[in-house]
Amino acid sequence: VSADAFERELAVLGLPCRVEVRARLAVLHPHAGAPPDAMVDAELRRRIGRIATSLGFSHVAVELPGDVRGETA
Amino acid sequence: MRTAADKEADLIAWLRHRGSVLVGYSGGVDSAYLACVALDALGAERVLAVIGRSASYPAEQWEGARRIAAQFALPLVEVETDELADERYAANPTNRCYFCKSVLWSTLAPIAAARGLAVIVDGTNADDLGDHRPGAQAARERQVASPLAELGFTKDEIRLRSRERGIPTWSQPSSPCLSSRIPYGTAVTPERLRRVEDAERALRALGVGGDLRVRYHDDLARVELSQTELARWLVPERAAQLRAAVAGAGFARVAVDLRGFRSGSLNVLHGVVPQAAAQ
Repeated sequence: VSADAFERELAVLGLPCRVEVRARLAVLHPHAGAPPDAMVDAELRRRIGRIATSLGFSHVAVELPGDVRGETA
Repeated sequence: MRTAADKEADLIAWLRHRGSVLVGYSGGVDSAYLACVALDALGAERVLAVIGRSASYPAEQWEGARRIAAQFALPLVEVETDELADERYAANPTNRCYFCKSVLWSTLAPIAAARGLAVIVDGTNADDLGDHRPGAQAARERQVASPLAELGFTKDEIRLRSRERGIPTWSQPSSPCLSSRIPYGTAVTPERLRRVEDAERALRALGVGGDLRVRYHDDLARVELSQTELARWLVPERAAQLRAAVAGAGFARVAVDLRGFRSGSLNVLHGVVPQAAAQ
């Protein structure tokens, strides 16, 4: 699995994130500039899932920061 | 092709041929249906439902199981099955379910014998047969029968017939034990089970419907929601409520799985089954 590659792919999607790797689980931490409600889009979630799979991750989740404004927790 | 009603007729014949049964009963969709059909087919004198209670059995499900038993006048016994005391179980290997079911069936066998009940049955259905289910080996070793699987009942057919019979579990989400939320290799402890249970209860109280799992990853809770619920709870305002509910159960960090609920999700994480196998 590659966090760097995943981060690059997410940036291309307009979703700048830090990717935390926990074995085959990728935890996404959207940067401040990422749209806060981006993940509501089912198609975007599917695309992220496909990218995650292609990079060797079995699971991908987005962390909910305490204030839910898209800040990194 | 046999319909669900045809299969139910087969099930009634199967039960009558055995004469009497002890049902391993959790109050889930499958065992509730099986127990209710057995009661109809055999009468209350020849059916006993037995709940095995432990820290991995959600209190909410236990209450539901008792309600259904009371509603249908199903003879019910409850026993303690402290599988966490077995260190082979608590270590949480990939065949953890084998040790749990070994304790359960070993506890139930003397009850069946003492009451003269001919056979012990469980609610395993035909859909379950393709899953990673090491608990099935424990059932085979103790001659526990699985008539729903044997007669080809799918989960959907059990739900359909349960609805026809007015069994309230027909629309209930599947409800495996709480230990299934803890990744293999991470010890199962009462405190971890309680944290998962509290988080799921808080989310239900918040209004989360459908399939739901709170997966334990140490300080992080990974929440799996149904596809319908995912879009609803990723809206920032609702996400804040969801986070607060899970954090209140003792998780420092909360994440939402972007693929949503997948049965056997942790089997995939650990490579026990291939990714494509998880629904």
